[in-house]
Amino acid sequence: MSFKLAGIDQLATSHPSFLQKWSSRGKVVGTAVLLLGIVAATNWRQIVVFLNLLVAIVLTAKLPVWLFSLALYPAIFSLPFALSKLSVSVAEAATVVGKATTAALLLALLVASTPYPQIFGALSRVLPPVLTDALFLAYRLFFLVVGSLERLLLSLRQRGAFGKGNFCWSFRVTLHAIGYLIANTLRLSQRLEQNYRLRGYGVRIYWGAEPYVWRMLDLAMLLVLICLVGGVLCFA
Amino acid sequence: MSHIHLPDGVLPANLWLLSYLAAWLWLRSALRQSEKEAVQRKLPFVAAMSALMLLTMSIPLGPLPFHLNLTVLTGIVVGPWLGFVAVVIVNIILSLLGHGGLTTIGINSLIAGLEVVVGWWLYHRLLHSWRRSWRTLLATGLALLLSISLSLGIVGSSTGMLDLAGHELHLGQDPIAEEQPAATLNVSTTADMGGEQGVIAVKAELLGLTGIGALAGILLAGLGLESLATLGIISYLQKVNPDLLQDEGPDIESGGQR
Repeated sequence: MSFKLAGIDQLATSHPSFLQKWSSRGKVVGTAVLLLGIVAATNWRQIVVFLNLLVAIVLTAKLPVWLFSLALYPAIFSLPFALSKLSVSVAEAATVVGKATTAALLLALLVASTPYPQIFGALSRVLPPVLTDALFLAYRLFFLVVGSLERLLLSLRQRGAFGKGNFCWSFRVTLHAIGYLIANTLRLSQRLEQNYRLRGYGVRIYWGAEPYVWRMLDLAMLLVLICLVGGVLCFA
Repeated sequence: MSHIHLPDGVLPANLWLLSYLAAWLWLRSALRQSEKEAVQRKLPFVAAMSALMLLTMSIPLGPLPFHLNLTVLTGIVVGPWLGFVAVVIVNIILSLLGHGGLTTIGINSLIAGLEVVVGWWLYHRLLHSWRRSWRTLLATGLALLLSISLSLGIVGSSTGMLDLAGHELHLGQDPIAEEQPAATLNVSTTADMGGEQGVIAVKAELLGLTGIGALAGILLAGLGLESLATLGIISYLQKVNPDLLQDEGPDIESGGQR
């Protein structure tokens, strides 16, 4: 997932598509509208419409196909719920899996087209400032930890860890490596936070939520989405 | 490892809305409590533990459908209140990556938050006088057992599978099952259309165990692995940086070292 996260980050910041040009606020609200539509869907036809819409957006925006793999986890986790619906009908069960998968694809589309500071900026409108700061630091630290982990794994492999026949030793070494990562990451986080303070950030580190004026285009897109979701839920 | 990351669209709206409200109240309370502990100064540690949880949750343990959670360890290191904040952060980021759902952040956080709080309480309070190894194993094991029960209860009550479990206990050994590979998931359904609702029987088969046995086996294996992993990590931290494991959490001024 760490590599996917890095790939998504790259897509969000540098992939040229019409989605990247749409304002982050509009995208977040639009995603919320579509998500509510997906969650409120009651039959497989509605889900198929939403899914087709998202697939069409992914393809026309020329986003990579591996984005669909992010929808696999929810498909697996929704299986117990789908199985319970099999007694009613196969369509009901498919609707449950479809809802989970379509919702995951929608969110994948959002993060693949919106840089994370902008998403956190939109979230900071509803989340406590401390939580937004922690989100921002955690996201930044995640990539630093992945870098540390890669270097650590390389040095462990060079010392013979993870080979066949020494499972217990490898397990013990892996746990010690995680322990080292924890101690190291705590020190790293401290330095990172001090760096931000040196740069002049005070009580709040993250200031991503800039004042935003709704454009006509955003409002029009939002209106289209609301009509679409309403239409699908009423008529499909 | 101990719980299912519930995706969007599988729970009834009243359940996820209620859990959102409960998680929000818990979060506000956690942040208010943490003010006393100078939350702003401890923020880097919360972020660090969140990043580590994100990392371990993204690495599957070989062929097993498990990953480490580190929730109990997070509770032990940063405390119950800030530990819950870390869990919320992890669930927000994971939900954007298809690991859980946006509407289920509340319920996923409540379940994982329970591990943090119970693990911390057992480790630092109830079993404080015990040997560290037993304390770690028991704190992790019991906290995970509680969250597993809650997870299964939620899945069971919202799908009607609790009835299914009882139904499954009466089923005998399926002769066809012996022809299946040892570690496969064999799911079959039978519909009893005599009543108002059909009754579905799901048989999960793993290494010769069926139904509840297989499910319990999978979950207990996960519980055991997480407990052992937490023990290994805590043993290491005890050697190199024991101050991280103090009840008041890591010392801020010295970057976790007193």
